[in-house]
Amino acid sequence: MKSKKIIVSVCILIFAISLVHGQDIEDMVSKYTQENGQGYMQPLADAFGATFNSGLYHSASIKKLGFQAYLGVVSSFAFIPDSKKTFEATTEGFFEPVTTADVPTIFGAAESVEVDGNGGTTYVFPAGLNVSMVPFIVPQLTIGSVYGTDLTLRYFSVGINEELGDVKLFSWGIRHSISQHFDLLPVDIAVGFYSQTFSIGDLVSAKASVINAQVSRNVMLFTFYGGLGYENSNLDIKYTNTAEDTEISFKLKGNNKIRFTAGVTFNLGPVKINVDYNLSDQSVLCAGLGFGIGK
Amino acid sequence: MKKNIIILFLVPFFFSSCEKRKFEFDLSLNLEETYIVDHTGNFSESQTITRSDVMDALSIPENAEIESVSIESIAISIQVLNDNEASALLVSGMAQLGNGSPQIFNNFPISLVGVDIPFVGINSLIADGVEGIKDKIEGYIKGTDSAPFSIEISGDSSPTAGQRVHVQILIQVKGNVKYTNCEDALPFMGADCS
Repeated sequence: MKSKKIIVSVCILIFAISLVHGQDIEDMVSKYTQENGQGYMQPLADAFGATFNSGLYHSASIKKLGFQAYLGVVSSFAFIPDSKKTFEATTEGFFEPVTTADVPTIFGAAESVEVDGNGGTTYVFPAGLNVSMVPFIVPQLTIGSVYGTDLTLRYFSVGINEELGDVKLFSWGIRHSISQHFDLLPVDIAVGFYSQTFSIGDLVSAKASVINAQVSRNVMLFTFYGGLGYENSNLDIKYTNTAEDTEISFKLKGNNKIRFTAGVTFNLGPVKINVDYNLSDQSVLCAGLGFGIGK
Repeated sequence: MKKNIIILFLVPFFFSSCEKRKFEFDLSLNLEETYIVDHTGNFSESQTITRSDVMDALSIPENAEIESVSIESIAISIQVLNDNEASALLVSGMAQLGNGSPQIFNNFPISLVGVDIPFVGINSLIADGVEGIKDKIEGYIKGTDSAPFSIEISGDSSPTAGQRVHVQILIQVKGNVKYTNCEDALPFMGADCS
């Protein structure tokens, strides 16, 4: 069982790693040194941001004062819609005639698109990875409460190899109970701010943040919760194009801005199992499993 | 009961085990050849391209399956050297393939205004020559051809022929190598390796 868990953990990391492994990413996108690169990579930025900003809460209930903690694993799945699998690209460089075509993004079809040009030339728009969803799994600790305020932390750091360096994630968030200031409210209400950084060596660096309003209500063993959030994310990718001996970098901004969250937590004593759906430009299904004590 | 629920929750992750999945990679190829021309009147210079020149410019995994090779563009750049008299050139290119010598381009005009003329795409490429270069490169990569080939550049000054031409000519051949390879990945990525 232990070895299987290790395989699973490695697989989850492999997705991110395979995207940014020096040779692989270069082979995927070495053609895209200009504007097309932004279009090719944009869905990756959207998916990263959307998954990072998911699963940060599973209830809006925070004690006014006293020990309250949750330790668990949060898994997020960004299902890639068809609209994020193609983009409109234009031939680059000296290829003639200049031609525009609908071609795969990094999540698109695993087949390149070819355009015939003058004098027996052919322009190749690179294939995608044929990805239907992006998974993201991270441990999470939430601890409180001081005057209805708690702190959420996410962290992992895994050394991959000398070429890639470490995969690192650090996240912090703080939220405050609003409902504690009002009597007789039928629901718990809180507001939170969360900030996350992620990096893979010098190749990838990502930042995401979200501010949200959270609401929840306990009904027997269940906690129904939801929220409205405003978010931002950035993804910077840097690699060397050895064919032309140039350094290529993309600075991408996630398209996700507003997200609606709706979910339910199943409370089995200290065991908390939650599932929620996040509706946004890039929607995310999120599930969590953890142990909570306190409220 | 609790144990069963936890197991049920974890099962999807355990099913997401690593497996070999097929991906297509499109590798850029960039070959540059330099010709020094110091001649009065018609000139002709040749540069040989070997299999190792091509293979050194590429990094293809051992088990990769080569799908296709294509030529995207051929461009020319000129640096004017001392005592050059020509104000423009008409340049032609020919591929010496061993089994034939198809033309790549014919009488392409280049104005020598300034000292360094940046790369200019040759918009009058001839399919036979381009196809010939493509076939040689594909043969090198697939291991079916190892004989070197040459790209010969010839021309004269223009509009006045017979002037002293002292220039450095760079010919850039850009291409693409499409290959597939099986990599460790999650089952919902790529295609079946079978």
